[in-house]
Amino acid sequence: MKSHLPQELLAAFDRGGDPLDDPGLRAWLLEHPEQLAAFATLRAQLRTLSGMPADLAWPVPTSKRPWWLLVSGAGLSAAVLTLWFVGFTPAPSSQGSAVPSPGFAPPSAVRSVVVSTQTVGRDGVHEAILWRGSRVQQAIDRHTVASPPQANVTSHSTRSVARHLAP
Amino acid sequence: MNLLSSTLLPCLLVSPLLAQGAGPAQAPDLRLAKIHEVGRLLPEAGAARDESRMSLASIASAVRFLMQPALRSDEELQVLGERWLALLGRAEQHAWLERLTRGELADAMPLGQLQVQVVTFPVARFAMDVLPALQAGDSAREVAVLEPGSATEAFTKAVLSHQDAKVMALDPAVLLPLRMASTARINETAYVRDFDVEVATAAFLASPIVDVVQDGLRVQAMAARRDDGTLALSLHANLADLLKPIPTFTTSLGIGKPITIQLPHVTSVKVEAKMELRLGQVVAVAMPAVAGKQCLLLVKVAELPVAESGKPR
Repeated sequence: MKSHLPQELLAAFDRGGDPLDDPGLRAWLLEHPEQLAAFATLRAQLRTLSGMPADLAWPVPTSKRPWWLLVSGAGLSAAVLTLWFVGFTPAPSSQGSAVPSPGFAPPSAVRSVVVSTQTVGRDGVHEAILWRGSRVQQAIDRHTVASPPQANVTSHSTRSVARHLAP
Repeated sequence: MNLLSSTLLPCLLVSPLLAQGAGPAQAPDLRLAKIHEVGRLLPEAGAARDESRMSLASIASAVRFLMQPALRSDEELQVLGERWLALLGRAEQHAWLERLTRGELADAMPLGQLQVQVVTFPVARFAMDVLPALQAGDSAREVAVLEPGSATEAFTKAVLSHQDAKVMALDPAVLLPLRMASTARINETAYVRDFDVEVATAAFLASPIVDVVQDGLRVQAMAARRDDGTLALSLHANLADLLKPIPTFTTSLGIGKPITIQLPHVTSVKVEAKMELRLGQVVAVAMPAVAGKQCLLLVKVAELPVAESGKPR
């Protein structure tokens, strides 16, 4: 899923703050739950970065940034770029997350998943499949299904069976 | 020449067509369409209509996964009405479904005990702390099978002891082969659905009609043992949330006082997953967010506790 985090939220990160401290951004996140995963990942990564030694922590206010930090920053960037080019990939870290990663069984254990939603209220019954995925050669083949409101999920297939039952 | 033009020539012209028709014969369509009554597999009489309907959908979904021989892409199984399944499939599949509906496939030996723990978080906290742990590559695993071991134990411990988590354990259910096991935590809320109005010459009587709306969590599972000893498990989790207070609607009947009815608004999310697992493995299901909360289900098929008599309890 592509991330579309708003500029205000990214700017809050740039200031070194936590967007969750801002009521407006909190409200935006609650209104866009599909962006929460992207936000959580970015926040966890930034937390990991902020856990580095204080003299390498980022960002540091410009007025307090000594010349030698700029030099070491440039050196660090050069080292990272060098490692990148020689194909070094740092191992993923869950340091920023409060919950450690579990031990996963091979992904082929889960054959298919269907996630759907239903709302029953004053306007009647609305059903929609949010997404469905099936395991194809070790990778989840995920389809977001755009079902219009009030679509009966089973009606189409039922009709196709009924055609065969008809004399 | 006359004979040639009247008999032989038409034969020569038609023969390639006949040869084509007599070439490699098309495989006959072995599929049959038949309706199977599966009332015996449904919850006992007295269950709510919605519950029965949901169970039938779950059974159909599970049967699609567990059927032997497996359904091909041109074969279908669909729900019909309240207690029927329509199968478009081969004769052996119809025979399998008939045996299932008669209870002949259900082995007396239980497969294990279905244990479900529900951990509820505020949606933002779930996204911050739990979802990254379930991250694999660039996408989160909403449904994942976890291997027993120290990493999974640490994950489970951290989730259950999280400061913002509310933990609830559903009653364990015995998982019999090819039988739908169900466990739930359901709230029932009474509401005024309608009024029964009687108008006489000088009197007006409106009697409220009270109904019950349900919300909460229901987990259903159907499983079969594969030849290699693993369990093929079809898991259905349905989480419903009733908006409170229940919205009301007030209307005037022309005479007498206005009446107020309640219009419940229930939002539910459902996750259906098919998987293969071994005893002791844990299935983690991240339910979609509802009403500002998000649940993580930890489902385990554990060995049945053995009573002193040596028989599973």
